[in-house]
Amino acid sequence: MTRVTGLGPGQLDTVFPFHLVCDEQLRVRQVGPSLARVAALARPGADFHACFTVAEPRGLLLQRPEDAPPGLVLLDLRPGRLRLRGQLLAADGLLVFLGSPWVRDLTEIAEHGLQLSDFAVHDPVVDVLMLLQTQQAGLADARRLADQLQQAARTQARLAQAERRLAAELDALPDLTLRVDAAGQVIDFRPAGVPDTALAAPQLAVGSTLAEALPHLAGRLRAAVSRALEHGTTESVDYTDHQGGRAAFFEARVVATGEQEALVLIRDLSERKALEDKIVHQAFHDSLTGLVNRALFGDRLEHALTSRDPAGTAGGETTCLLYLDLDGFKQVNDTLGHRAGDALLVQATERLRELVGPQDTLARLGGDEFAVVLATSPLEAAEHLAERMVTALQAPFDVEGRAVRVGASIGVAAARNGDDSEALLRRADEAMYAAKRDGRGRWVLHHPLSEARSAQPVRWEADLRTAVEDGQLTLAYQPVVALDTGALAGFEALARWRHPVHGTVPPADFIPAAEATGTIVPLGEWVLQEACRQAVEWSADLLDPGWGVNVNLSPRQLREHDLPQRVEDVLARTGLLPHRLTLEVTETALHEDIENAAAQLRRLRAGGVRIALDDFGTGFSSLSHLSRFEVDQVKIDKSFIDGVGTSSTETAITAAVIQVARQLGLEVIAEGVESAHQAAALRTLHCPAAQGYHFARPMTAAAVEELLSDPARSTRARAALPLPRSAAADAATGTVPSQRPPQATRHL
Amino acid sequence: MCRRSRERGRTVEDGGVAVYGLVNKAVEDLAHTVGGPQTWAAIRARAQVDVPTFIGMDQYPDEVTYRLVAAASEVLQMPAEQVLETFGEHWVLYTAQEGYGPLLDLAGSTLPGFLMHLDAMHARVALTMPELTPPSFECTDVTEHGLRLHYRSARPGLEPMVVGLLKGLGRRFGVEVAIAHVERRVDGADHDVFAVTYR
Repeated sequence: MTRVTGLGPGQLDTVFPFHLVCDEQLRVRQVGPSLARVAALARPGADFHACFTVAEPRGLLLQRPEDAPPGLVLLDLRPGRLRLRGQLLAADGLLVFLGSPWVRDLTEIAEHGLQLSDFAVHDPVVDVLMLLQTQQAGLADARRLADQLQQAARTQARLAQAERRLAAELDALPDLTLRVDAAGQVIDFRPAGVPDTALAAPQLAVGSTLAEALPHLAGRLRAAVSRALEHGTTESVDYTDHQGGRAAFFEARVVATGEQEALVLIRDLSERKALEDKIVHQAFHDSLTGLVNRALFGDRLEHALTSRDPAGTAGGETTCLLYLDLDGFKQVNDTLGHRAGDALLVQATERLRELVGPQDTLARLGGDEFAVVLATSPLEAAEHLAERMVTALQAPFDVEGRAVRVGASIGVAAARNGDDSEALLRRADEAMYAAKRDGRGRWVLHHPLSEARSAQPVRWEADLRTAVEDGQLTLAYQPVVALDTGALAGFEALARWRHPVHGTVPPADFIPAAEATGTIVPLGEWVLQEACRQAVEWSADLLDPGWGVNVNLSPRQLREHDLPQRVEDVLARTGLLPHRLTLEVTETALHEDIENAAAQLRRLRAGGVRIALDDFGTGFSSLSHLSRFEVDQVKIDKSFIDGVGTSSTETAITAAVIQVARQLGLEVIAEGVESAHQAAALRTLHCPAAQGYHFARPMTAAAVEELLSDPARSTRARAALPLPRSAAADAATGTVPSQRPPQATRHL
Repeated sequence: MCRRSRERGRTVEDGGVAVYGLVNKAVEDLAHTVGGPQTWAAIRARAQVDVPTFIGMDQYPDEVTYRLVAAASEVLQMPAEQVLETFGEHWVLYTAQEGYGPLLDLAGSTLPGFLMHLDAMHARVALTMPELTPPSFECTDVTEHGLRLHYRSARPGLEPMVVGLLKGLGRRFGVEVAIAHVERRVDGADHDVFAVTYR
């Protein structure tokens, strides 16, 4: 073992584990233990240049020990990538290398198969690397801390922003906000965002107690605070304050914000409550009149019925219902407009309000329908009220400067045991319609005997379907008379229904039902067929060739696109000449679909059938209809004839219609003539023809044949030979004679 | 020299024992591993440590570490000895490996080799961390399957952590380790001695 540097071989190994000693020929003589472990070729006797490459100084020609450079030398191990740093020394003819591995990262040490003990204690490379790593760790810590601080700053900024927003929201809140502790002491507070005397709480101050600040609410608030703190719930306390002469509604909400702290928000709900009340009122009241609407009316009626004593009272009191419908209101709406109609409804409501007691309910059920519930009343009182209402509504109304007259038809019904609101309402409604039928402007008390009869319309719809097939329908014929001679000029065929169970059913009852259900089409076709057949039968023996028969067409029939063909078929089947058939249509029917109606009439007239405009004056009353629609005959409505000779207005209108019709070459028939005075007046106006009770009621076919078989009777004026007004004729009409003739009713 | 380290407004003065933040970070790391952020928050709160984050090269009073261990014992419902042992094992296997893995790799490739160079490694670490007061580990009676480990520390009560460290090293080097605490300073011995066997 070579002794160099004054150190023993063992010491040299310890101090320089990577040392190397070469002889004069640069052959390896001694290798440090660590170098020997990692340099496989560096063995005693090996050539220096076979084991190492001098990396620095670059280009050094190292051939003998004396060539050793004085400074730093870098040797690269061959083979491999390990680089050694150190110093070459020439001493005593030997070349000595004292150095250690050079690494730039702690991980490289292990990669080269080295351990900590391979590094000389005096070699600082590992320590420097550790220092660098520690500094890097410190830098990473600093970065992490900076990130956290940045994050904290951002969080802080967001918190500050949220705090500002919350403060702004709290400022804007209409609530009085308090923070209180568990003992009910105010920690801090924020006044209500909206000034309100009721929320001002002048005694409120930091440190004050709830009892001092809000004495009227303190007890309940304290309890709510306790519950909120105990259960973590949000508590709510509603209360009403009657200070200042008005009722104010408040809600206090309490929420725990800590173990011993709660937030109390008190809000004035008075406006919202008022709005809610208004909405509820609107939901149950009519917006135009302010009256109770149908919904609330139904509720009150039901309540009255359920509260009613079934045993009745000593005074015979019960729940009474008045069902009122204005007469002629539709005409007001149609002629003066809806605004005028509304004004009239408001005035009518005012009159009714004055008559109805505070315990009773006056309601507007819709349109021109009103109702009054008398929860507990003697029937006489209800009748008296109905009478007063009829009277009150008869007086003219001032609508937009015009005097407008309407009336009222009222049905009165009294509750019976077992009645529900629907039953009572139905009876009152039926009574109201009875009042309409009886001539309007009156009240009718529903009578049990009339119930079976009035309840029929619902059933008619089903029975009508079989009425035609079962031969329950018959025709009545009302004569048309030439006014100048009194001679018969024709007949109007009118449908009659003899029900197998209920007897004769008035046309006013079953025709609307037939129209609504569509059975009017087969019913109308049967009427047409039967009338034509009868006319042909009579014309063969009895009927003057110039006479004809009038048959009514319903609006629904007029809409049937194959109506002209059906009429043509009937004429073909019966053999009636087309010009002897006159089909009557109303202005209203024409107006439903003007273009189609005009086209239908043109096609019918093209087939030779004549057309009459019925009830002229009751519909849209436009004289232009006379020229627009191709008609042959005009029938002036009874409402005008009623005033002929007595009313200058009706007389003038009738005269004008007659005049216009004559100038257009149209025939004219006055309907509903009921007196000699009217007949005379019509003659004066040169009205050519008329029909009505004054001349004859509708009569059976047999009665017509009896009449026709006496030529003298059939051609003489009524003054000389009154036409029959027999029981048979009355039966044919299905009506009971009354002092007041019924209003003209549209029927087949 | 005056060492100042801020923790809840107190300082570590000359003569006091301080610990580098990386040790406390290791406790934090263990708490996160065992129970997540909530567990660490609970431990920190219970230990009344309001330092938001520990800086590895900053120094903190030893007391902080002791409080953290005591709090962890309560929160995790484990004896303090078990917490320390777990911490010792976690330190070797995860925390030290993460930051000082290459250094550990250099310290030796076998359990006895590693233990025998441990003081040298601490000496080198002390160059970087001048305030470090590391414990001393001396190996005697080294045989093929065992040795006696002499543990000397300025910090009392951390002996269970040594057991954890040895168990962690056993797992690191893939050997079964049995440890017997044969001499205890708390029983009057000069220092603590562990009889370590491995195979």
